[in-house]
Amino acid sequence: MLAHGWMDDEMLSYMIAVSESTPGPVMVNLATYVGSNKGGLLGAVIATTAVMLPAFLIILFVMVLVKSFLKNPYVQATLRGLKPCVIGIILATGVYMIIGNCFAETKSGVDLTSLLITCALALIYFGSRKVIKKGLSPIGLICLAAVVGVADYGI
Amino acid sequence: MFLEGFLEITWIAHAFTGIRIAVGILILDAAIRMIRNMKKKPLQIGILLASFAVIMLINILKFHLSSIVVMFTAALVSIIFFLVEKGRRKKGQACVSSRMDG
Repeated sequence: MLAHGWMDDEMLSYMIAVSESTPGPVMVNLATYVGSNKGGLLGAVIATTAVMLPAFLIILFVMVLVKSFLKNPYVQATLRGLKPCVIGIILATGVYMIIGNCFAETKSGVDLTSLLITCALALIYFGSRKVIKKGLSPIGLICLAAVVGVADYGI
Repeated sequence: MFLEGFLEITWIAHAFTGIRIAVGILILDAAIRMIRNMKKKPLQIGILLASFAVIMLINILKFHLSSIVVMFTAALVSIIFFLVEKGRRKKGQACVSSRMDG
């Protein structure tokens, strides 16, 4: 962009900041802004299409190849092995996080408040599925946990 | 940088200790949901328990083994079992066809 003389440094950094704030990928937004800056609406449309087209074509091409690839029995055997492995890794991560929270190394032994909060929150989260349809949402759980954390400090 | 100044406000730091607990619960929830949808074949359950044990040991003992190595081993084990199963099936078919000829 600097080689073509489309923009100078100051404008570019300003555009980058704006592109990061608006929704969507930074590169797409940046292309749109540069395009609109230089060529109005048509410039914006052409720039955005140009930035997305190569990725779109590559993915389309890969999808055609991948379809026959997935039917291969060896590939299916590999995926059958990877699936429980990944689940095991995620499970271990979750369990380790919870144990790490409750058994903090600064206090010797169990951090009782954290253990209680963990059990209470888990009960509310999993139990709410029986009471209300779909139960407490993940964001709801996070907000509730934040409130409990602050309340624990206040009390 | 911004986050560090943010965390120095004590009540926000305490909110985040609560959020840490929520995150652990959410990860557990995701894992449990995936286990429920999984086909419960013995090999799959075996790989699940084995990789769970390995990752727990890595975390507790601070052992530096990448989880990618664990995944690679699991894929390899699955392929080996698949080949053994294929060999067993071919042997069975050969026995049946030889019995029909003889």
